[in-house]
Amino acid sequence: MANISRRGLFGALGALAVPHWFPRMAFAAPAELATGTDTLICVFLRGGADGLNVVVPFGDSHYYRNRPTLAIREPGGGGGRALNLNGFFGLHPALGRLKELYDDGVLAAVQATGSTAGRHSHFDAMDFMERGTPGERKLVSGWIGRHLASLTSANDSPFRAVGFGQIVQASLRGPVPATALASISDFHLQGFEAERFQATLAGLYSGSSFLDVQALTTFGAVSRLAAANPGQYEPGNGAAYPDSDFGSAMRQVAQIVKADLGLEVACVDVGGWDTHEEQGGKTGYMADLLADLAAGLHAFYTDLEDRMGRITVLTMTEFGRRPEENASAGTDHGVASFMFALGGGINGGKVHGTWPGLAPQALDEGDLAVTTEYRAVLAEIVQKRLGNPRLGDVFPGIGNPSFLGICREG
Amino acid sequence: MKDGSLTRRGVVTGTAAGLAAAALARALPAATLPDRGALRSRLLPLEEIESLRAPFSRSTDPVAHLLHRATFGVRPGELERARQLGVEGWLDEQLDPDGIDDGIDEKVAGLFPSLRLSAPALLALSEDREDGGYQNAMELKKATLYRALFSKRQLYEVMVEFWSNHFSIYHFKDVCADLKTVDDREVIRPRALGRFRDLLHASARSPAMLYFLDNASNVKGGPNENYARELMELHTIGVDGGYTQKDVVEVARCFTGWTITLWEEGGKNGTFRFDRDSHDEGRKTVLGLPIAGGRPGNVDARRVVDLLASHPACARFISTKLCRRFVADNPPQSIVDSTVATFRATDGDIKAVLRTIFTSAEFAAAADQKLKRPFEFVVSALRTLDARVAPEAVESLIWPLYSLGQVPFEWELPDGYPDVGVSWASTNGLLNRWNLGSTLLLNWYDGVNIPVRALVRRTRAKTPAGLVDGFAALLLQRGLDAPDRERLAAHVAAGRAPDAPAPAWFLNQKAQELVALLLGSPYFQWR
Repeated sequence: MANISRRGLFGALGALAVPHWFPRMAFAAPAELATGTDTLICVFLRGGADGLNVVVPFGDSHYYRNRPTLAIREPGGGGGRALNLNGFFGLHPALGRLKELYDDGVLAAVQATGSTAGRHSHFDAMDFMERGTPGERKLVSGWIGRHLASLTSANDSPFRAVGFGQIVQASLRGPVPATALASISDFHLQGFEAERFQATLAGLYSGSSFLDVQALTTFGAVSRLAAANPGQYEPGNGAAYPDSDFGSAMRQVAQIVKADLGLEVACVDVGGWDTHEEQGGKTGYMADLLADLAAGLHAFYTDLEDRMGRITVLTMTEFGRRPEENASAGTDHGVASFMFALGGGINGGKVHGTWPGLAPQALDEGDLAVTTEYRAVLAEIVQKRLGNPRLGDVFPGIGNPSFLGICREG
Repeated sequence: MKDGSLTRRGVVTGTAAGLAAAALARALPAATLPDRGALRSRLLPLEEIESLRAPFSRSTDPVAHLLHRATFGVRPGELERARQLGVEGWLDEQLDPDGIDDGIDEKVAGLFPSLRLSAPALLALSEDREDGGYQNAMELKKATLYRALFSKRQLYEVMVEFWSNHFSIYHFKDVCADLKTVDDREVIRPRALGRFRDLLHASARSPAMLYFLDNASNVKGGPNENYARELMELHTIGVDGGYTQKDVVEVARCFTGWTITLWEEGGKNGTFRFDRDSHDEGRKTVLGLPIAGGRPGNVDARRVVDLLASHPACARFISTKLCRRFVADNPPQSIVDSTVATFRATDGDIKAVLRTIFTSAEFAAAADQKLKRPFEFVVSALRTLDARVAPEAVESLIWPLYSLGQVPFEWELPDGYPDVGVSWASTNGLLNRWNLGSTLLLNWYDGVNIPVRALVRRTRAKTPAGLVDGFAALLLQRGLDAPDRERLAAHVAAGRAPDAPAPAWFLNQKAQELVALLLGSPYFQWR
């Protein structure tokens, strides 16, 4: 088995006896990896982030009718108002650091994007979004997992795909093992360190089951990390990561990027966006979350500025929130929301997408309508920045999505 | 973590040397590394994502299987005792926890005094401490761990954990840090083996739940849908249970005015309150059934709870979840069906439902199909090793749970910790499991003592191979597959003949590493 290539393995899998319930795999023969591709950092805002108060449609008067207490005021004199992007949309005032990146042309926003699959349910909506198969559970893998599997790659690093946290994100599920990493400084073997001990332990995991492969990946990740000796990390260009879980995760992503450990995809989660109550407006609970998000992304960009030509950061969330605020000074589950894309290959300084409007007749059962299905954004990144033309493997049934032009080829 | 000053540093032996050792990254020597080719060719078997496969032969002992699923770990001697009782006898005993006198309540109350406090007293205490409820929350976590470790009412504790996860409340959403203590004591524990309907009613009135899912601010005119949606999606009928967005709004309207008293003078802070003024008295329709509205308005929500508890989709949703916990990640349809039948015939009698599951053929055929979740791994390691844990050391055992990702009451979303293997079979999980095994045996945890010598004596082993067999029986309640037995026997023998008698001092010395290897082995990751 040692010499078998991925291509060979996939060929062989078709002939394996598999249980009848086993979903048919969508893989064709893998595509050759194009030279020079981006590292993708996928930031998932868990809980359903309120896109209307992030990329604020101050030019739509219905926004203010729906949000008597929570609305962000239109740009103008004084602080605490939306940061004007294009005369219609503005960023939340806590996103000043992102406004700089937007003005520099490396940050783009997409408004009114998402999916109606799993409508209003966190768990269904996240599940479908991470599988990348809206309304469909036939495939057990995630969209990033399928992306990795659909490429022939010489990259055998256990850091090819990294999920920050204790549990690997569902989008990374697939045949290429991803490394779950909670903390670089803790990612080493403790206690019995003798070679014999570790060899015996590794020997107990010499099979081919899921757990065996994870163990093998763990040994590989530990040894490569130790060899890279990331040690004390000093961010570049004076970048200041916020002292938060998100800041720490982004800092560690940067550390892995700079250690050249073969990182192709990293997933980072940020929780707390389920703002049913007291979400705040220009200041308050959500403003604090946004400030943290902006500080983390800005620090990451600053830290890795000379590498950002080959890095794309993407934020996503399972759904947006209802335009109409509730009586608890919060917002309930909605549908369409926003995405940010950051990187040297991004057509930044723009709000992409089509604004459906917040007039009552424009709403989808009371929710902001989806005008850009989220897979169209992901597919464009996958094709143009990750160099993977096999969109049908990554997003089965997607056909030929029309791209927004969110990024450049290359 | 809530309090930035608390780090895992303070936990693992306080000595500077210990800390330095812990902090040093240790490379796996190249010789033991899988070669690059091997790594490259090893792909995850996708078919296991829905149901992991234990990479060793299935164990065949029905009593051991029952203990693996229905307890937090098998203490030395417990298997023998359970064999005498038999499956039925053991279940009879465990399903009547009041008949098991283990003195645990008194002990826990003495060690963790905030467990007995009322909601107003808990809130007042945290206000005095200005710690946002951190210490009260930590006491509940410690008590939970302590009970799992030392209570003889094991199935009861397993079910308390199940329902705590089902009605998941995130500890660090403001006052939930204090109010979860009351939820644990007055909602979950009294009904963990009762009727589901009663548990649901109690949870719906639980101040911690009302606060966590924002029903405390659900008022007429602009209902907050959070609790209403999760009540249906997560607590009762499931996302495919047949409700619509309209039903969510209608249920939310029924629950308007179900709130809690907070930040007021007088002794009622943190207690349930029905606020008639903010209740929507209009007519409602939930799942096609009319709810009259009017006064007294607090019956609307009670009707909703009854309706949901009686709904066929609820019986199926809860039964499926119990079968997933106790049988397999993807339980066979037949056992789900018979569990549903019992659930419906008994109006959700949890004891009857458990009996159906544990005495089924499907259960008997499902040994080694569940990967231990981190809490189960940590507790079972300590229980099987008969660890002595000083009360003040309990806190240090919470920290590995942070590294592993399953601390009681700290799943932020309301769906509770995942209960399928694919979520926990991660690199981070394995590494931290291995490290816990090693550091426990090296006595890095002050106040936690693993009685290795006593365990060696219990094995009566005279040879390295005998030691391996003895510890496999003690820790795993089974024998090892031949290649693994050979591998471990050779490791223990360290150049001696594995089947030749070895002196006691030698076996005692080798037992530490052997136990760490067994805890880190695939066998110990399954239940």
